[in-house]
Order: sequence, then C-alpha cells, then structure tokens
Amino acid sequence: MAVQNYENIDINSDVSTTRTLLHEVIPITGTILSGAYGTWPNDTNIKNYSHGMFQSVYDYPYLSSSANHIFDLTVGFDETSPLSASAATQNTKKINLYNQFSQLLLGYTGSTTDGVRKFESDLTLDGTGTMKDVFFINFARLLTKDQIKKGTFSLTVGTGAFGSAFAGTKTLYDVSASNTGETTNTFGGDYGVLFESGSSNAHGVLFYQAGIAVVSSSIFSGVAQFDSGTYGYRTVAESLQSSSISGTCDMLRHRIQNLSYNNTTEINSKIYFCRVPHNKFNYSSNPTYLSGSKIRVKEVATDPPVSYITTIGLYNSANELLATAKLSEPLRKDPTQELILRVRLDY
Amino acid sequence: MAFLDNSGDIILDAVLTETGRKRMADGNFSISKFALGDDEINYSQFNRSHPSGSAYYDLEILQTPVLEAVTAQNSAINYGLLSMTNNNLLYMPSIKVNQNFERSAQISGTIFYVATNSETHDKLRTAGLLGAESKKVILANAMTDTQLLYWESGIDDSTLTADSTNRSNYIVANDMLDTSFTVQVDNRLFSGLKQLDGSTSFSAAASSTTITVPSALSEAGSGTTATSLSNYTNYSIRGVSNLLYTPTVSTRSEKSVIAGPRGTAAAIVFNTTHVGASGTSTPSVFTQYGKTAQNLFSSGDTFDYIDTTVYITGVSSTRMAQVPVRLIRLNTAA
Repeated sequence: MAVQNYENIDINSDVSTTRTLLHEVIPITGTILSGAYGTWPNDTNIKNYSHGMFQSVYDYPYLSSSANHIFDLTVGFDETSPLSASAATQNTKKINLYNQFSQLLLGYTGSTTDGVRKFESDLTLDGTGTMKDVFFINFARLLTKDQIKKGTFSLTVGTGAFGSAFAGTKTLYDVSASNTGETTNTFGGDYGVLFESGSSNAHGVLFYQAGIAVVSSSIFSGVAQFDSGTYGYRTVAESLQSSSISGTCDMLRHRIQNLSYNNTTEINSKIYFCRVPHNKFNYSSNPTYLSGSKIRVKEVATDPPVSYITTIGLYNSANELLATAKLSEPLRKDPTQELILRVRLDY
Repeated sequence: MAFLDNSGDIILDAVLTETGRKRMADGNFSISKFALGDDEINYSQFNRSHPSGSAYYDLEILQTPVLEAVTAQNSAINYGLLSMTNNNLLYMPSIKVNQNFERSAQISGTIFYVATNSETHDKLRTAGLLGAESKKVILANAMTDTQLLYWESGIDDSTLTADSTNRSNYIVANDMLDTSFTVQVDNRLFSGLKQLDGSTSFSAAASSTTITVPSALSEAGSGTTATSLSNYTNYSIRGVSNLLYTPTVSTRSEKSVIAGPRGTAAAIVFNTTHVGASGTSTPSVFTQYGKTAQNLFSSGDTFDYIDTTVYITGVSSTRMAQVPVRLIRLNTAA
C-alpha cells in the first residue's frame, strides 16, 4: 500500500537488451580422477553402473550430497573397426555407443551400411581420417554451462608404461578453433579438432555445445602397457576389444594427468533505465521522515526536501511488484539532482 | 538476508519477486513503471547540529547499511518516496487514532479490543475485566451500541493554529486532504468494515461550545486484495471533513488529537463471521491463528482471541498508522 508514486518506463527509450558471455576456467586435475578418493580403480568418486555402459566421475565421493558430477566416460567402436568382433567383450554395447554418439552428433549419411557418419579427425565429413575406436568424455552441464569456449580445451594424458604412466605425456588442444573459424557445424553443434601439442597430428574432436570430447585411441598408439596387466599387459586396441567398457575407462582415468577448459554462460540482460526527474521522489512516506508533522530534513519551508533511495521497485501496469533492486548504499535525492538508475535483470 | 557490500562503487542487487516469476511463467512479464523506497532509512539520524557543518548532516544516513533484495512481495517497499510539486512543504499530515470522542474506542494496555458478539461485548464491559460500561470494546458487526475506531488526519504541530485558514493553506492547497483512507485488515479475521456514512462532518467552531462528531455508520464497499501484504484486504474508507478548530472558549475542551490544522477524520467498525456464541465450539480461526480458552483477566472467564494489526493509510497524504487490534470471543463464562 505504501507505494503511492510511480514513474513510467518508456519501453522504447528506457529499456535496452544486451547479451553477455561469461567464461569460467574449469581445471580438473588427474588426481581427482584417480587416487584422490580411495584406491584406483575403486575410487569412491567413480560411479559404475550395473549396465556397464559408462562410468561417472564426481568431484567427491558420489554418495555424499556434496558431490558434483563432472563428466562421464565411455568407449565405443564402429562395426567396421578391426576391433569389432563377436568375441570382443561387450562388442554390441561398444558399437551401439559409437553409433549413438555418431547419430546424435553427426547425423546420418546414406553412404554407409549402418547409415550413421563416422567420426573424423578433421573438419570435413568426407570419410577420410575416420576414427573408429574412440573414448567419449561427456562433460556435465553443471560445469560446461552453455558451451565450452572454443580454443580453451586441453587434455594431457600419460603415454608411459602402466606403472609410470606419466613418464611420457601427450597433450591435446583445440588450438585452431575459435568463434570465427576452424570449426564445423553439425547436428551436435560446432566441433573443433583436437591436435597433439606441437604437431599436426589430430587425435579427436570436441563438440562445444554438446560438451563431448571424442578422443581417438590413436593417441595411445605405441603404448605397450596401456592397462594394468591383470590379464597380461594390453595395448589400447586390446583393451578396447577385450576389456569391459568400465575397465577401459578405468585405464583411461589412470592416464589423465590434466584436463581443463573454459565454460561459457550466455546471459541475456534487460536494462531498465529508471529516470528520476529533479522534481520527483524528493519526499518520503517513511514514518521517521516526520517529527510530529514536521519534515525532519528541513528547518524552514524553503530548505530543499531530501530523501534517500535504497530500493527500486519495478511494476507492471497492475501495480504488481515484479522485481526489486537494492542499492548498496543510500543515494541522496533532492530537487537539484536528476538520476538515472540502471537496473539490470539477467535471464 | 545479508547486507550488501558498500565498500566500493554503488552497485544494484536486483531480483525477480515471486509475482515476477509467476508472471514470467505465465508469459506476461511486462515492466511499465518504477517506484523508489527508503525502508532502511531512519531520518531521525539527520543531524542539523553536526559540529562539522551541513555537509555532515546526513553522514549517518549515508552510512546506513542496506539489506539484500528479497523476493517476497510484501517486504520490498513499505515506505515509498513521494513526488510532490511543492518543494517548500515543511509539514505533512499525520494520522492519529482519536480516543477522546464519546463514541471512541479506547485502547486497553497496548491493544484495541473487538468483540465478536454481544455476549463477549457485554462480558468485557464489566468490573474486573475492561471495566463497567467500558469504552474499550468495539462490537463487531454492530451499527449502533458500539464504540468506533476513530482517527484523524492533520498537521500535528502546535505552532500552527487549528483553524480554517491553516487547514486550507497547509493541507488543502498542498493536495494532502485525505478524503479517503485505505484500511488494510486481515481477511482471515475480518470480512468487511463499516464506515461513517458521510452525512455529517466533524465540526466545532473556535468559539462554539458544542462539538459535532459523526457516528452514523454504513457498510464500506467490498475490498480488494492487498498486493503488498499476504492475507490482507484493502478497503476504501471515507474521510469526513474535520472542521474541529482550536477552542477559544473555556467551556469546550479540545477533543482532537491533532495539535495543528485538521484535514479529515474517519471511523470504522469491523465485520467478522467468527461470531460463535459462548459455550459453542470455538471457531477454527482462533485455533489456527490465535489462542483459545485463555483466562485473560483472571476472572475465571475464558476467551479465545487473535491479535492482528490494522493499517490505515491516507490516500492523499500517504501517511500511515498501524493499529494493534485483538479479536476476542467469550469461550465460557465463569
């Protein structure tokens, strides 16, 4: 009831719309993936499922309500991959996963037997440079927000023997990608190529809006002891073929040294310019404004009236309060001042 | 609700209110105007005697910490800033409850009593409770045989004489004559209001020995839902011309509570549906929001009651008075 005086906002001249992109750095150290909570491979921040299709990585033991989902790991290969064989462990599931991602991110082509496109380690979709055996890293939207910022992704993996995985490392960057080029637009949004640091070798692609990194197993080519040796040391190809999905994911986790990117949050804002004329809002209905009936801030009638603004209320035509803004400190208002208060509402 | 960081530049902390979010969900979020508030400010800290001069008069006020914005509709702007064309106003009307008239309800302790039925009304008006023939009880739903809650609007400053000239110059000329008031009551307790019928003005000429105080009532119109308070309804209550002038004769005592020129006055009686007679089951509203079977006056009689606040705002002056009210029902007589 207390609000008695309103000032109109002209929708044409007093309202402005802006779009802002905010970026945050998301650094993920390898110790979170392996060894920080529990003993590898039974880390308590790693969640495996009975269906065995993927595993989830949390930043804290996942049974805790404080845990945040970081990303999921899984693997897959195309049915035309040399690794695909009826004897391969979870063969169908690995093919299905590859096809699912391919279908979702690249779409269909009529030129292959199964109809889906193959991932390629380049910006073309011409069937060259296909990646048929891949790891998928699906980042949680909690961290990627609206998308991964182009040109900020890096993934460092160890390429040493299992016991000293980081004796050698390779780093993948989307170094060429930017908002102005070096990406390809597909069903899954823009993707850029992940190049090995210091070379032109490409080992994967990164889908920015989907928040999915597709890393080719070729990054571990030449690594003789990709896995732990429980079943005899295996190469990455042997692991992809003969280990379970979660087992291969465990090996990948063991080899991730660092992972980082910048996320992007798109904020659409509406700025309301609240123009306070010199001759308005100079008095107050605050009960302390009067002593008896005399205005406290005046000694004689000719003293200028003074008020202090702490709050701005934004209303619709039915006088319903739709938004409130508070100033961090009181703002003096008297007849000698005209003010423009910018109230920004973010969506 | 924390304080805002006021160590650097002035920043704005903006949030959508509950209504704003609802309107957005409905697809009709459209801001068309704004208003300003100063709820945190205590103007009594304006120090005209500051030894360092006028630049320091409002030092304390400007250092007032401001709380974060909240989403509740009713805690946003309780006291709005006002736009008045006259920059030379020195006085603004005050609203004060009048307990001096013959039919005025008088406060008991810190609260006004509203009896739900005549049984309760009669019981309260006995010795040992609120006093024999006490004026401290308003009988709900009654047109007659009840006290009224009166109030006046005017310049409460004794440096101005309460006469016609000052009334005209300080109130009427500045568009601060409250010809109506908005009275906000809890709609869970009160179903309506009665107001002065407007047939008679409050009047007493300076030299007159008699005083006219209207008390004839009529029903106020239906209310509208208050946007700034949950479960409250706004009623528009007629403000009647208050022509009570400062007496210049010793045979008439001053009945007005406004020290200076008076603008208007008004009165109400509350309507309620919670009238259950003594001995019958207690209306559920008392169980939900109040206390039941209380031996309030150590008389052995037990009462059900609910305390609430009634808000009275002058439509022109924008000044507000808050009146504590107790809705009371005789549960069982001793």
